[in-house]
Amino acid sequence: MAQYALVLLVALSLNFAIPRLAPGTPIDYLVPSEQVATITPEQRERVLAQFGLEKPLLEQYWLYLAGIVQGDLGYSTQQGRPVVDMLLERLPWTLVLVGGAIALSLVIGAGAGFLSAARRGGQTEVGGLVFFMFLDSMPPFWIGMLLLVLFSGYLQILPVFGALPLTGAGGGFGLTFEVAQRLLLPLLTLTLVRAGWLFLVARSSLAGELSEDYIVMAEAKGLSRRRVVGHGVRNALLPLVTAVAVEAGTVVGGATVVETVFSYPGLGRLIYESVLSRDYPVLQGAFLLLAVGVIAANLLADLLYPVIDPRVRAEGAR
Amino acid sequence: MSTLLEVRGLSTVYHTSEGPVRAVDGVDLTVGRGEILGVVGESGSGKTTLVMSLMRLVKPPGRILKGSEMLLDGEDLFRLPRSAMPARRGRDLALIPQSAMHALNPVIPVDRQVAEAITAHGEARSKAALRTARDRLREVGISPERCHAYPHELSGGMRQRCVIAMAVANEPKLVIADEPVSGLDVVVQARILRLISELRESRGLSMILVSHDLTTVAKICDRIMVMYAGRIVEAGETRTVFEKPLHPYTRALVEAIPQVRGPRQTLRAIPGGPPDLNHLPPGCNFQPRCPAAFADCKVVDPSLEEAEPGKKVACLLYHEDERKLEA
Repeated sequence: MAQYALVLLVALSLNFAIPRLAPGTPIDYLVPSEQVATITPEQRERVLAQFGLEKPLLEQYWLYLAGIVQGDLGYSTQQGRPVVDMLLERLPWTLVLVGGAIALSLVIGAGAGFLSAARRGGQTEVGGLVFFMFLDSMPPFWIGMLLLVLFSGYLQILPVFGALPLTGAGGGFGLTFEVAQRLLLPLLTLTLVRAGWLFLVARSSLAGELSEDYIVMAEAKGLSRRRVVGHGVRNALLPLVTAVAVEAGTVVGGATVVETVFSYPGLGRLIYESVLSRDYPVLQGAFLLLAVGVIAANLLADLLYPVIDPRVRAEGAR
Repeated sequence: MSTLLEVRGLSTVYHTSEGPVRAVDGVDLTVGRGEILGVVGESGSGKTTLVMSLMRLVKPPGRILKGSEMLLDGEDLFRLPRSAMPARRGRDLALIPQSAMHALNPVIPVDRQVAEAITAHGEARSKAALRTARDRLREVGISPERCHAYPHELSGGMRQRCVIAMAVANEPKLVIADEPVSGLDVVVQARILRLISELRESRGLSMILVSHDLTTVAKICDRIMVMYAGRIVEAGETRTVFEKPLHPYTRALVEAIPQVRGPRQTLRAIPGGPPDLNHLPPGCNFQPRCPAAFADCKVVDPSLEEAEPGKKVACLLYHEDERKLEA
């Protein structure tokens, strides 16, 4: 636990330091570029003071940490709104998308991977392997664009854009349906991309377990094939938990690309917009949120290990 | 003693890139009720393949050849459909596998693993199975408070006991033990062997015990078969094999046992190594390493024949005698 607190503090500090280490002065992005050369020193002071940038670095750092504790991440330089509000507005959309993609890809990828390992050497197994390796090698934006062209362009059965209908939002069931329809393609894209990776992890993990001695013993005591494989699955879960924890981080990155392709109003899209407009406070806030997400996912994985593997439990107790 | 198991012409082939390799080549064996048969051979002699063949657990590229027969109580298990085997394993035939250290699933408590062997064969209520499992574990010397332990919490000897409890949980007709004491220190080895003898007394266990160690086998087996390059080269009562080994290979094995008592001697080893099954020598398989080999040995492949009552050997030294008698 202390480790996680430390990692969190390091992440916070890096988040504070990186924009300040970047070349150029804050004025370069706080003031429209055509005016940078012409503003007076007084104007410059005022702009810096507005964002607390005239204070000594250590005090800035302290104010930054204090702000985070109070849920204050500063204001967007472009929209002037509190960063926290902007993030919270986008967060649910990304959570639904990324959470759904992780859950679905886990069920599909790991399920197929385990099945494939259990039937190693068969014909269907080779087909599955080729398919999922193909998925794993595909860039997310490319899959997204293909799906977009197929379902929205060619078949014209799904909307192209956004997460909410632009007109006549209404409410109740109709709205839910509209939202689900718009969620479908980005969700499918992310799921497909992640399923390939999880398939490979699950497959190789179970295949390794199935060649262990305890599997021979399980067979020798007369268990059915299904229960023998079950013995292996139980042991093959650990690498999968790790994979999902790692994925929880990378999937948010993947969501940036996918959300951009589908103009989906999640965090990833916000990051993309903020990069384009050089909105540093928003970027900083978003990165902070991602770092916290990755740390939380790893913490969760660490808490899960002992539940799955008694050997980890013993090490923890020592 | 009535016959429990009769194996005839068992051959198991592995398909390799260099062609098929016969890891087990035409093995005949019988086990009587309540008898312990020992199978001895160096590594690579086909012992483990023999064990896996008897359990019908040979995995591709390995295959049991057609024509092999395995009669257990008169029923040929090799003729059963593959799907019928799980019901037989653990009940008709049980295995104590090689490296029993790793034969337990690391994430399941041992009593539940034993109980699983019991539920797999009919006992539907898991509570009752768990109770039986704990009884079985106590029988092999695992105290009740250790029953719920995970494998990594137990010593090597205790894990081996758990595996034995699992193997005998369903009162199998035949137990096949593949190197049941290798990897354990000598004191624990002796205890495990005593446990096996005790179980045999109390339950009338019939058993095949496979080992590379002649002394291990000699301690508890009634009869011994010596395996070399996938074949049986000598078979007989434990005492006669020990006291009057016929085959030069058996003789070398017996002489290679270090003696604690008596005058100091240099350990005697058998020159050369086990033959490459892809390139077997002409004639007798042992001939290149054999101190007693003569010209015919490079031509004639000796079959396993009775040399004296109750004693079979595959060696021309003794077949020559028979021919002389016939003449």
